[in-house]
Amino acid sequence: MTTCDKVRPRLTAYLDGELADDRGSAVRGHLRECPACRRVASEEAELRDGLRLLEPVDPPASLWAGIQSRLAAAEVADARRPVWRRAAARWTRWARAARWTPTMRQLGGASFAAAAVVAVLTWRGQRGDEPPAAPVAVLGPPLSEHLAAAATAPRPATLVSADDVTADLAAEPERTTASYDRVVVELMKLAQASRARWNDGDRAAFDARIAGLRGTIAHADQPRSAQRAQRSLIRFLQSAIVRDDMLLASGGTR
Amino acid sequence: MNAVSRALIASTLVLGFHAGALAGSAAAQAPRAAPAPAQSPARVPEGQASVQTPAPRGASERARLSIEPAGRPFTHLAIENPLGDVKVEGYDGTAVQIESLKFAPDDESLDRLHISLVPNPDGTVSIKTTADGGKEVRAVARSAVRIDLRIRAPRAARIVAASSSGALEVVNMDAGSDLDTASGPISVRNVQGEVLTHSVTGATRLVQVFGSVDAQTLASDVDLDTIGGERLVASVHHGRIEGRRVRARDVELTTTEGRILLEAEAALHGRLVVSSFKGDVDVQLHRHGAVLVRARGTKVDLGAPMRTQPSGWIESVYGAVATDAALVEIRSPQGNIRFAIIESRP
Repeated sequence: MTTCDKVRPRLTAYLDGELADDRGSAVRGHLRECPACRRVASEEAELRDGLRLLEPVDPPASLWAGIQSRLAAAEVADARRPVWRRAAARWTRWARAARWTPTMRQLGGASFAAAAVVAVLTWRGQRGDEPPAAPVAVLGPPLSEHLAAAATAPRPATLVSADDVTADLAAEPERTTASYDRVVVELMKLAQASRARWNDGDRAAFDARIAGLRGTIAHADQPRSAQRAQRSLIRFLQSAIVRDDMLLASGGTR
Repeated sequence: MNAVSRALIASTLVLGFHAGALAGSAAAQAPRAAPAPAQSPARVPEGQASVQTPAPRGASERARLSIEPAGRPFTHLAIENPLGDVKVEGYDGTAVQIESLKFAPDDESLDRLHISLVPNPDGTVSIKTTADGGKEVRAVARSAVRIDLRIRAPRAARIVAASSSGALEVVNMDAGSDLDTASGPISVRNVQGEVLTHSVTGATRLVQVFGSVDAQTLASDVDLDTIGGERLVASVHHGRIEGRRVRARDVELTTTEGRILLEAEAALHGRLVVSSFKGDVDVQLHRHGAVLVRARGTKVDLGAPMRTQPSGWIESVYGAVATDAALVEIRSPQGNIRFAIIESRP
């Protein structure tokens, strides 16, 4: 029997669409019957709707591409895991969070329970007539509007394999950006050695230029813009290190 | 609907291109080859950067399209092909002629590969390749699909092209190019104007370029042959730079780790700055007037009597010092420096 105490801690995960099918179904069922929990869920949904009205902050496109690719990979990996492994992973996470170590008696009980679960899963798998749980959409109409429809909406099939060409293409900007980042790290280490030989004015000029270029990279709205700024940073670092001459590195002559 | 649109849509229906901005998703199938071993037709000329990825086996499709300008000539081609090679060749005509070759393991995967083409009234043409994702598609590895583009363009058009691991090749153009790739080789030959190239690990080769040149790679080599113009800047992190017949007035070559070999011609008032952090530097210079050479390195050989300045520079002077003397600066804090003059005039 699902109670309010069990549902409340899961509301956030439910609204995020993070609950597994069976748990999502249980929460949804409880919300249908419990006005108090429905009110709490509505309040949280309204809060989220309000947050959505805030001015959006766009992350760099390379970051989003990387997230998409990792999400796709995680979804595929999760889909390929058998049900019992997903359940075991959930249990492991819970046990770690609770710092709980089972006794022999508890292990025995768990074994019995596991056997029962296997039986139930097998039966449910044979039935196959229960509709899949619906996630709460992240974009679109206010989240609160989704609560009523959540129980019946079908789950869209939008999985993209991490092995697919589209996932690989999406991850490409992140890979290129990472390559540039690695070189920047290498050159920054060399720059630290050169820096000791510079006077205070050169150090300040170096730091200011680095800060400026890093700012350009951070605020770039497209991966290519960010990479262009990264290339400028790399070239500046090379000039500063190889030529060991801040004035020349800044485009002047000495 | 202007003439470009009409021509484009007609061609689209026949040849299977997607003209995204003009014709929506309208597309017809171009002639397809039966599943059979496919050969990559886009071969880079021998001795130049070569295509890295062989064409996958399976289904293939070839399409051709020609777009005539509607009034204003085409001045700018923006090409983005993360799925294969791009070869652009300039010619004396006014149309942009595109030949695409798609390869995939099967027809279903082939249908996921698209080329969008958007000619704009301002004289620019955008060409972009994509692979469809979406619902319930069967996963296909990126290495198993491919789109190669061969384009003939009016010489006066500037080429801006990007690839991933595919080769970028630009030949016989008069308005320069801006080429960007991750690991594909870049080849530019007989091009005038501003040439910009960037790559992470793709080798870069520039031959007969007359104009301002800026080449940058992280981990590959840069080869320069017959470069003229006001400015040549090339930098490599891990890799060498090799230049022959370089006649640019202002030259800056930099590597972090990798040797630099340069055979250049010093212009009056010219300035050559050649620097490596760990690599050896070898410069041979044809001179037509006075040249001041100064160097800093682990071991310095300037091929002439040298004197060490209080600043730490080791200097040599060739010819009578004058106000129009060319300046050569060579640095290699952890490498050897060798400089020699090639006397081309008595």
